Amino acid sequence: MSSTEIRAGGAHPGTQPAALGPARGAPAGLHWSQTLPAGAILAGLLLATAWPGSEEGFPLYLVLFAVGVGVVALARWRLAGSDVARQSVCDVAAILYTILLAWQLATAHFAVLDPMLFPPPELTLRLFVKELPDLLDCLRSSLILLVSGFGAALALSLPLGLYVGWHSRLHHAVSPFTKILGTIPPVVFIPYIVHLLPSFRSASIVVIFIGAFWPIFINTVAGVFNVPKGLIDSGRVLNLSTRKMLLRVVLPAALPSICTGASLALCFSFLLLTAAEVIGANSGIGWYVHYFSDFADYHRVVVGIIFIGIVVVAITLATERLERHLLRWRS
Amino acid sequence: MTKRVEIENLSFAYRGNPVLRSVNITAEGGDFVCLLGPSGCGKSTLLRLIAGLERPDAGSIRIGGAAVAGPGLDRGVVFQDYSLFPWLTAGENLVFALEQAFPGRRRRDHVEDARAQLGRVHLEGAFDKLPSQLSGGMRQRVAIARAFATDPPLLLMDEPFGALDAVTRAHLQEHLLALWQTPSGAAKTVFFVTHDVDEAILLASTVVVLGANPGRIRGVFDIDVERPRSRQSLQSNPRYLALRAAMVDLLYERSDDAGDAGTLQ
Repeated sequence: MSSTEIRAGGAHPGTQPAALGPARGAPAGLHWSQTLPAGAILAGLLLATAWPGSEEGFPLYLVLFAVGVGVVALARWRLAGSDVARQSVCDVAAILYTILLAWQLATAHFAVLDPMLFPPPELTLRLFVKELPDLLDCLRSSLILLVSGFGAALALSLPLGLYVGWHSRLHHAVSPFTKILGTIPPVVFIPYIVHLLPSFRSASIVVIFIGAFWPIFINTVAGVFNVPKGLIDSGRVLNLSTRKMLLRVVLPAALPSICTGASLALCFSFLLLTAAEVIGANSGIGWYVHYFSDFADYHRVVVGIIFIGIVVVAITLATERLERHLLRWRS
Repeated sequence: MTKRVEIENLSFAYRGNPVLRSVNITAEGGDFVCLLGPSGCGKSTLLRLIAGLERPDAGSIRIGGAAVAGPGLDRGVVFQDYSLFPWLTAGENLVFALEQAFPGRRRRDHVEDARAQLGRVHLEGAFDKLPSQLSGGMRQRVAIARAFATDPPLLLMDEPFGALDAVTRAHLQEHLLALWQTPSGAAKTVFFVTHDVDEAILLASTVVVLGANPGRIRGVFDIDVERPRSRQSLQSNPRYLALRAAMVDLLYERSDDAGDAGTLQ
């Protein structure tokens, strides 16, 4: 989770204007007090690892991870376009090191936390690497469900939303049903659909489909409805066919709203995916966490949770990037 | 390819409120007609009716003898806002319109044509710029270039310079006149909506002054001032001053009427 979080921290301030500090543009423009915390805490962390704790052996993975984070932070620091971005890279690294240090001290050194529920960082990292092939298998199985359900929802709700939003009579006729069906929390469908459908996989796909369908549909309809009338007029004076009007004018104009709906739908899909897997799967990342907690193997549970976190962050970053690309025409 | 425009007994109401009543205008091919009036006089509605974006309640509009049944590519329209699609670059906006107007041609020809048309408003470099990257004046120049690009016999402009500052506005008026006065442009019949008396006299061959509640014609002026007209020379032209005074009188008379009506109600 940690190394991707640094990326997240660095990506946002990187877009901010560069002209903020007095020493703008100069790579060494930051005062030493601004970069010190990260370095100091890293030193503390490394010192703590060298100090023999209750754990056996030298915490190689932890040291490698800490250094790895440092290298990534340094690279981002070099690439950052502004002092604000550089500052935030340092701050994110400092916070991460603080967490690792506190975790290390509370588990490996002073054993304040129950070792069965809270594995020390070294153990977690080692287990993470060991479990990675299994986790990736689980991820593949989960992604197949996610992509099928979400993809089907997108493929159906987007054209349907465009069509319904464009025809106002249909829009008014459909909207009471949308309001009722769209507000039912999709989680409540899970037990019912699991019984209704022959296999767990098909049931999961249908549940994800339902969960993703409504946010995209509702936001597409709303987006179409709110397209500035002037843009429609501009399309009409060009004598566009309905098909061209929908695809070349209404769709792009409604895209901001559609993107909002689609990212909401993706969040729902992920939630439903893991919920469904907890209920009845025999593979997948949600299943992984649930399965090992049944065996009271909380070390693997922690590893699974961290892995899910990384996956979610990666998906979120990818969709954000896609959205920024699709909507780059907005000032 | 000049087109005569005949507007006969045109009436239009919006949700029961009369907006235009019994409007009659005839514009010969190649006329530059300015529709001048205060806000709420229905001048934009009249333009939308000619564009085919609204249907009249009574009366008819004929372009070259044919009744208007809806929007069409024989009329190039420039609005105050939203003329350009913000997700298309300036060049792609022109290409999109050209593809609509001349469906059979190759895309490469459209792109070449679009470049040339942008050049006519001195925006060669803006081909790959998004509307959000252009100033308001540049956006309207692109919109005008697009309206001319498809070479329609009729141009409809709804306060196209209304949102611009005075200097930019003056430049765009010159751009527009320059385009309209080229051999291919002069054949175009133009309807231009404005509330600016000076703009109307500078541009028009005929100014139609409209009054409000409901919108109706208060006066028609032939602007028999020689072209090319320049802002500077107009200031000392007695004919210009007389026309201006007459139009201002008409416009203010209307607002006095409205004031009286307000106190009576």
